[in-house]
Formats: sequence, structure tokens, C-alpha cells
Amino acid sequence: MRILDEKRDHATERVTLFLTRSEAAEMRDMLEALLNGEVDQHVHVSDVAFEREVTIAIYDESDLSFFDERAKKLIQTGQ
Amino acid sequence: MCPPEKTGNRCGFVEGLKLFGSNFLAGLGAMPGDEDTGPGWLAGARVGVLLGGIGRAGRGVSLAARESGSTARAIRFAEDFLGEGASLKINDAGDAVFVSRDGTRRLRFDINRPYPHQSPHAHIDELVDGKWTTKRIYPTDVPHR
Repeated sequence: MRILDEKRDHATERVTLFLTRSEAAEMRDMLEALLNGEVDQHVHVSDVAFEREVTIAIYDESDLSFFDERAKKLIQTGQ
Repeated sequence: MCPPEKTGNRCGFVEGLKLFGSNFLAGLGAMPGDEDTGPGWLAGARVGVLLGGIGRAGRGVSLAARESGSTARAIRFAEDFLGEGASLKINDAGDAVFVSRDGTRRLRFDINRPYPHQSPHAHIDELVDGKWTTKRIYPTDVPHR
């Protein structure tokens, strides 16, 4: 697991998500799509105003070619 | 780039669709017709301009009538997908998200901030029978990563 605070460009260790039921259901569906291979690498879950957003990515350390340099660094070094 | 303060402005969408061309059609379940011989980005840009009108007004009149070929087809598919009264959101990166009036269909263009990937891409999300489905589209001329 890796967590990036995108706004501060800062890796972090703990995060708490407070979701509405509909946001949680959307996250469940998007995760399922990722796990089933319906969509690859990443999905987004936003609030209704698109002001807050969680991006969820699935990675395999043996192949990071699909990610940008910042994501690669985060996965490889944790920072 | 569409500045974040331009909320409601269609520029993010126009800039976004310049990159997608016929892949936008394919992502919506259609294929470009044989007549699609021009540069994909040009058709995409024209679609983007017209769809900006949907985001602002939802006029209830197909804008496809003013276009031809794959551009018109793309507009019809996008109009059908979003429906009347769609709204345009611009996120803090200046990227555009079109949302249907009932909130069950979205077209999202991650151009300015494609993170965690390198290349611009779009998402098509739809709530079907109470479950979200999603797909991602890349422009034809960028690495799919």
C-alpha cells in the first residue's frame, strides 16, 4: 500500500476516509471493476462537487510501466 | 489548459477532446465511419465545441445536425449518453467532467492531471442497475500508460 497526499506531493502512512453510503457503494463498484479487469490500473471516486477525490490504483511492483514517474517513485521507495 | 476559475467554461472539454478523436466514439460504443478520413483531433475538437453547449444549456435539439460524418455520430452518441441538462464541472486541475442531470452518467477528461499515468485519458462512467461501470479511453497518438 502506498498513500500520496497529492496536493502536498507528500507520501503519508495513514488516512481516514469518511464516505457517504453512495460514495462507499461507488468505491466498491470501482474496486470490483479494477479487480475484475474491466478497467485497468486506476479509478476515481469523487464527491458530488468534484472537490474531493480518491484515486485508487492497483499495482504490481514487477511492472510499473503504466505509471508516471511520481507514482513509480512512490511505489518503489515509499516516498 | 482550462484555468480552474473558469468553472462553467467549456474550454477544458474542448482542449480535452482535441486529443481523443475517433477513440471517443469507440469508447461510447460506436465506431468511426468510413468517412472519417480527417485528423482525429479535428473531429474531436469540433465535438468538444458542440458538447460545450450541452454542458451549459441542454437545449433539447441535437447539435449533430450541424455536423457530418463521424463528428455528427460522436455528438449523437455523447448527447444520448449524457441526456438533456448535463452539467459541466471543472476540477482543481482544470479538467472537465460532464455529468448527466440525474448523476448516473459521466464523461471525464484527465488532461492537465493524468496522474497516476503519464498520458492524457478519459473516463466514461455509468450507473447501471445500481452498479457503477467504468471504462477508460486514451487518445490514439499517445502511449497507453
